[in-house]
Order: sequence, then structure tokens, then C-alpha cells
Amino acid sequence: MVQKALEKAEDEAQKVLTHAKEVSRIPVVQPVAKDMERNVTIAERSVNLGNLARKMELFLSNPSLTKIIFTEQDFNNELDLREVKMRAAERRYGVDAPILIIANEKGARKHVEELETKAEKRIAEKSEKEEKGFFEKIGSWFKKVDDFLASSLNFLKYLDPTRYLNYINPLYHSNDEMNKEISTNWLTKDYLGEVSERFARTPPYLSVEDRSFFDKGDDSWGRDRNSVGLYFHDTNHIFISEEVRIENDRRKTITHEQLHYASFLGGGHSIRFLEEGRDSPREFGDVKWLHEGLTELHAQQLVRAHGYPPGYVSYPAETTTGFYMQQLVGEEALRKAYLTGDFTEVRDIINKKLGEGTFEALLKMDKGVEALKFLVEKLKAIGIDTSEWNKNVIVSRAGAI
Amino acid sequence: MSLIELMKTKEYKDADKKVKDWKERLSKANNSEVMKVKDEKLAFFSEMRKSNQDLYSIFEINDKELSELIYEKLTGKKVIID
Repeated sequence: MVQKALEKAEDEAQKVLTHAKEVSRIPVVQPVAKDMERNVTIAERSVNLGNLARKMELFLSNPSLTKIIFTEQDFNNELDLREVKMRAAERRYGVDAPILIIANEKGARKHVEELETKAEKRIAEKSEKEEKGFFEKIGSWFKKVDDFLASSLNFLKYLDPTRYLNYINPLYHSNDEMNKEISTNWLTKDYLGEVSERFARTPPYLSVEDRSFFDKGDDSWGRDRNSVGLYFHDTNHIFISEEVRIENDRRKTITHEQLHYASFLGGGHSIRFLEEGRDSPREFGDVKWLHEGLTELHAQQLVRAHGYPPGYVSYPAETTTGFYMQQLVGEEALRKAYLTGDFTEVRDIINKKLGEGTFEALLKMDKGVEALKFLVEKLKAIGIDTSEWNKNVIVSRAGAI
Repeated sequence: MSLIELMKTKEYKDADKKVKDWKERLSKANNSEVMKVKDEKLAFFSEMRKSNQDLYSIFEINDKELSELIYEKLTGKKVIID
């Protein structure tokens, strides 16, 4: 009886993994039931012997091994993680030899939940003690499958060499299930201009993570549990917090982070402009408040244009300043500057309208509210009435004025 | 009170001074100094976020900027934190 139950459980586990493989289009390592019983996941020609260092050592020294499984436990030690990242990126994780252990979390979990529900229903229907025990065992099997998938996904949480992610990127982006909430298709060629081709070739990798992941980040850089979106340059990886549950806010956050990347690709993080009488552009570098303000402004306008008005405006003073600048110089000129870093046209128009040196003075401000105060005073001085601008939904929701 | 009006308050001026001090210290900090700044600014902005959200919305850009700098100093990697 027990043997039969184990065989059945193994079949079900296999179904879950097959399903995960189908929905993710990414190779999924197959667990062997009897090993899972011992809380160990292994795969054909893989190693799973002791600690992380031992695993890596075996893996790197044996060319015949093509797969390795890491679990969350492996990555508790930050130093180990760095070592793995470095060695894995150097030695193994080339495009030609991807070592990939991942499943589509949503699809796999849904399937597991369905199976669990089915099992529970059957338990309720069967009153015999033996039968009950049998299905409880099945339930625990599903949990193990679930844990296995979760630990496989943790691989990506903690190990993300650039080439590795870039390899799987196209796979993710060809996956409709994963793309439902991704707004890449809003960032069109017309919108992105010269950046669009590079953006399309290497779209950012995106994953939704729980609070514990963001807490780890906030602990490391000293924030009070308030980060909801992250963009890592070296891995081209966007993380969105699952706590952003409202769809419109979620779309805005994703678009905001994607715009960071688009601007990063085009050189928008480093502000520069040509001045009369100079051959080379004057470099102002990364002006954080302006970059965030323009990122939020463009994200807000994009998601609203597609019918998803978000419930709040991030960086209110910075975004309002960005909006005022947009009214002065026009949408296209500001967007081009934001995406490429070339603010020559923006600078020329602002200085022409508000006085020589105004744009340079703005860039020297430390934060958005200082820039906003400065801009409001300048506009007042030359008699520009901002009351109509302030009626704009983004400005009014920001509440900075 | 609008955000611009908040700039006239003592709380704003004190916080602004602190931010400038942290930026200065981070520019020449070793790892242990970075950790000190991290703890100080975490405690300071956590309190501000609880007690005065409008003021925090002004300084959020500095909180994020300092966090990004701290992360880069500690790991050598760049991140954008929102």
C-alpha cells in the first residue's frame, strides 16, 4: 500500500514538474521521489554533496557534470555567495553552457494548490483511517514538491550573474504567462527613439519578490522597510515587491523601473549639454532628484495614457518640477533628454525663457523641493501663471504645491 | 503646509544639515564608517517617516541616494532603490 502511494506521489510530482517545464519553457531539474523523501533534491549528473563550497568544488573540477542544484540554505553566507557568483560567472555560466534550475512559480504553485485541494477533498470523502493516512502522506509530498520549486526559484534570488540572466531573458520574454504584467510593449520604438533597439535586444529581467527579499536589501543599505522597486545595473534585473498589490500601482512601479533601464541604456543617467563656443559637452553627471522626477513623470504619463491611473505619485516635489520643465520645453524634447542625457535643447529653452544660467542653477540643487522652489520663483518673476499646470492630475496628486 | 513651506522649518534645516554631513562622511569613508552612517541614517529617517511623512517625502530622495551610495561602497555594485 505504502509502496503504491509512493509511486503515485512520484507520478504526481512528475506531473507538477512537467507542467512547470511547459509553462516556463526552461529546463527544470527533475527530482527523484526517494531522494525528496530524505529532503534532498538531486538530478541526473548533478551533485548535491554537503555544503556549498564542496558542491562548487566538485562541479567546477568535473567537466562531465552539467547540472548543480543550489538551495536557499546554500546562500546564507554572503561570502560564499560572492565566491559562487564570481566563479560561476567565470567558469560555467556562459551562454553555451547554461545551468538552469527554475520553474514558473505562479503556474507551478497554482498546479500544486489544485492537486492539494483535490487531495484534501478526497481525504474528506474517505473516512477510513488508513486511507486518511495515505492522503496525508500525499499532501506532504506535494509540500515537498512545492518546497523544491521554491528552493529552485531561490537560485535566481541569490545567484544572478549577468550573462546567465541575459541568456534566460529571451526565454522569459517569450513567455506570455510572465509577460502579462510587463509593460514592455508600452515602451515602443516611437517612445524610446534610438534606445529602442538596444532595449528590445536586452530587455530587463523582471521578478516579483516577497517582503523578506526586500528586507534583506533594506537591511544592507539602511532603509526602513520601504523599498518596493529595485534596478540592478550589473545584472539588468528589476525587482518589484509583491506588496504592491493594486494592479495600476504595480504597472506604474514596473514602468518606472523599466524607464530607469531605458534611460541607463541611452546614457540618460549622466546629464550633459553643449554650450556655445565649446567643442565638447559640459558634463553634470547623475543628478538624482532630476532623474527620479523625470522617471516618475514619464511612468505616470505612460500608465495613465494606457488607462491605469496609479493611486499615488512617488517623489512628489521632483515629479512636479519635472512636469513644470516639460511644460516649458515640450514633451518630446524632455523625453529625448531624459533617455539620452543630452540636455542641450532643454537647457537652451529653459535659459531662454527663464534667464541665462537657470538650468545650470537647477542642476546644482540637492533635492527636488529646492529645485521646485527655485523654479516657482523664476516663473513668478517673469509672469508665468502655473495655476493651469497645477490642475494636472499628476501635479495635484503629488501635492507638492 | 506645502512642501515648499516646509523648507522654512527648523526640522527641515536640521535634516538637511545631517544629509550633507552624511554625504561628506561617505565620500571618504572606510567600511566601518559606512556602517555607522548607515545605522545613523536608518534611525533618523525611520523616525522622520513615522512622525512627519510630508517632511520625509522631501528627504526620500536623499534617503535613497545615501542608500545607493552605501550599497555601492559596500559591494562595488550599483543599484537604483525606489
